[in-house]
Amino acid sequence: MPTNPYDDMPEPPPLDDDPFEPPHPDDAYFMALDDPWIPPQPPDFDDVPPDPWLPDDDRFIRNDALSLPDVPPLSQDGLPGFETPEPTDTGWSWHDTQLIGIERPTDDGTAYEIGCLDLYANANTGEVGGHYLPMTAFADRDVASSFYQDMNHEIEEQGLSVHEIRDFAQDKTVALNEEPQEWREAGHEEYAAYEYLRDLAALDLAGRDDPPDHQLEPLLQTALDLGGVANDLETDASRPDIGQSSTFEALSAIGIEAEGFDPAKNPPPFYDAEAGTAYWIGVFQPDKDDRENCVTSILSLGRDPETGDLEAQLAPCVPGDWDKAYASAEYLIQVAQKGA
Amino acid sequence: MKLVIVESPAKSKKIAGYLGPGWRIEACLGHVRDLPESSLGVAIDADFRPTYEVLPGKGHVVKKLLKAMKEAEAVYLATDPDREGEAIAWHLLMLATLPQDKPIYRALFHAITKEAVQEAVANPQTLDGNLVEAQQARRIVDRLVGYLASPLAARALDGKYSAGRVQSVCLRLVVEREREIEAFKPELYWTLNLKLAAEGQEFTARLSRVKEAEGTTKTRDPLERLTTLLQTARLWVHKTVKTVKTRSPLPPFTTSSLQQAASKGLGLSPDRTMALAQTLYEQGWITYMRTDGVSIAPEAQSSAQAYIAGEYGADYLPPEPPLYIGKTLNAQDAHEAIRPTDVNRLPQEVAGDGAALYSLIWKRFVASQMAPARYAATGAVIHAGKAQGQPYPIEFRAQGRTMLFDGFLKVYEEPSDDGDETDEASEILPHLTDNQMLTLITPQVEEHQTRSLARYTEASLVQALEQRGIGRPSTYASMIKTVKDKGYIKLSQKRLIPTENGRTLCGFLSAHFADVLADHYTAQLETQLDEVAAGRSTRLDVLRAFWQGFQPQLAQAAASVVTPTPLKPLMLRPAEE
Repeated sequence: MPTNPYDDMPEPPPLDDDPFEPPHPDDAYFMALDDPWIPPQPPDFDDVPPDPWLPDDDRFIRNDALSLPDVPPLSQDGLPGFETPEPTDTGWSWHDTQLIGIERPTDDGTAYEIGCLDLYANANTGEVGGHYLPMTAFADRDVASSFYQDMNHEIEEQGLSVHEIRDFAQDKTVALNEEPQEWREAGHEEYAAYEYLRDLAALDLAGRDDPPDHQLEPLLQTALDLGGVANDLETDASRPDIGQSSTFEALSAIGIEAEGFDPAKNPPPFYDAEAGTAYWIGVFQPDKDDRENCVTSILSLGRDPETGDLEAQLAPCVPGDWDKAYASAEYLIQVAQKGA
Repeated sequence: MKLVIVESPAKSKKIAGYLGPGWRIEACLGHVRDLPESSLGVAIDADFRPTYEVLPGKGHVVKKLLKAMKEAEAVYLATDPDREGEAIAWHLLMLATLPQDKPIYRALFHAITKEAVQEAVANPQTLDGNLVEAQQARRIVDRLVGYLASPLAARALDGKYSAGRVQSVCLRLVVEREREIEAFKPELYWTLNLKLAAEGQEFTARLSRVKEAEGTTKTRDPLERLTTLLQTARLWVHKTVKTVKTRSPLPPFTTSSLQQAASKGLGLSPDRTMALAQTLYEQGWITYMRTDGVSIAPEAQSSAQAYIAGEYGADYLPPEPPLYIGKTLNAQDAHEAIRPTDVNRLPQEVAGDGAALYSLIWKRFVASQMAPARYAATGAVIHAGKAQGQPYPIEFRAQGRTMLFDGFLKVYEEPSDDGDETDEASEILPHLTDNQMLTLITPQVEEHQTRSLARYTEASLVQALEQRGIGRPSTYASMIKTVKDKGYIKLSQKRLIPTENGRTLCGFLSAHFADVLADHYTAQLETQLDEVAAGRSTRLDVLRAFWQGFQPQLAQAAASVVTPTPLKPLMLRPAEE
């Protein structure tokens, strides 16, 4: 029976360790305008929602912001005896706050702006929306990046929770600017910067077992090894670099029609890496005017060690009529493959 | 200062409010560490030892969390209350390397309400190592299949193909269904219905038997001849049966049943449903949304009973509060069903998916605690003959029902898929007595055609996966989303159709990894993982058993990839002079 490796964790505190007395709902604390959790803009809650932290949706969502398609309400909504209550405005709730960086084109080039996105989510519609505060901007990307890192470091040093970043950003903006900008509705650029920074879809591991393209070859090798298969697979890297035009030239030089022959589509089945020479065994050379005069050869393509030019050589092996030469080509290939 | 670590920042503000001063809430944003992207990350020869690394982009979050953990006087790991959440908490703990005397607890928030949060931190637990082990075993198995089968598929099929373990099972179901549909040959058949009247009231009876055979025929002629015969025949009620039937409500939602109902009733995809449910959970509207349990907390049941009695009357309460027990294969049943955290927070008439989803959850929960609906069901066997008492060897049947008491239907009716046939159409029969004579108004011979199985909808695919024990509440949505996103299946008129690429991949996987993709194998693996979670087996046991089955298939697939394709002679012609 396996043992629980976490049995030696400390025991929980006694039940009366912390009374966790919640504030009374009528307590002024809940509705104080300087409550750090109530977004300072706008502070007026005319219709007090049941949850004091929930903002009025009009102020926190753009009509076109990340809108998602609606579907009609359930058909059973109209069932007799079930009257739908009056709509209330409790759908919006704070979701996340992040410092973000945005590149903005200016008359002088590009400005690198650092700002704060305060994001809300609507439980009714599934939408997200929020406000954005431009904190400061720099002409130099590195300086902006450094400032961004410093701000996050300061948040860490102060031990601020995510929902406290809004006030932090507000205070910094006031301190940094003589005429600080105000919070405004966030736009697509700000949402895009946020998504880039914190991909909400990355909350689970879905897709983490889908290997990236550039890892397929090494993983194929791993799969073959673990499958117990001796691997002589030719990888792209081990194949000779033979361009089509240089091949055409090399074959033309020995009087061979190379039209339609593409070394990429018909890669050399055999390659001598040491000599840098590629071989095609069983090359069939028909004579269209005389079917009795065909030949099967071995084609080699290699580079001249001095000039580096591609050179072709054809070594005739079996002359004969069409059928004999073609059958000989097939046979040679078969023998060569078995040998390989 | 005490530190609480949750997964989503959206919860942190509410939790901070519920706990008050002296508490700091931080969010880890899901997983912080995983197997590397750049390599297999599993040492097969060293008892499948995994290598973990901090996820790309998570370094900043991890650094901040570790610093906070070191500074805190106590740490409450309040990641989501499931295997993944347990594993996230464990990874954080492994990264932190905190001193032995640092108080570290596991807090389980099954709902983000004041009571649930305060209860969870007042009664914290230790980390459940068995759950962590089960999560790691699943993680390693998924990695081995994904990272070893995908490159073989890509090489063999000469393209970018990936073969996730459970996603491939999901794809196989869709491809197999498509093949069944393609192989299906429809057949025609005919039925005979009689429109009859009794004391001026019309109703319909269908031919149910001819001699000892079924009332349907494969040709039209016999029924046409019968209608001619009936024109001169007498018809009478041979026998009537009256009963009261009840229809009970369904249990409250699990993840699977929620995804199915939301797909049918609201047109939401499973992943969209889960995203909305996550928001509802984080904002304190509903209990945790990844569950296969159907049980209900006693206090929630009491609240529902009080609400029903107050709103609809005591008649709508069942004699005994219902007790639901999960029936799903391999159900972990560790959590409550999905329900509103407070039944008195009524659904709103807001044109939004989230509101509609909450409404669905609320109604199904309330309905689940209500009395069954009752119907008066009447059945009649009708004979025809030259004279009463001398029947031909044929038999007609009519049935009808009327609702006596609506019960739970006052609140909720289960949505159905488009095109699904329901048995809700109920005819009201007139008062019939034995031997009562009837008047024939018209006979109706109708042509029908046998129909193939329907393509899966997202809802029915989730149902099929659950019935086969494939996947878990946390994976249904991502499985379907993954195969859709990769273009292996597509949605057309709400039905799932495999693409050419999907068929090609499925063909390769079925040929080489048939066992791994088999229903029973996947379900068995889930059972083994549950055994690990329950402490009755170990991670190593599961991984060894898995590898024993997987490695031969890997070897066979690998051999097929390296077998050279027979070459054809290269043809070159002499250049024209």
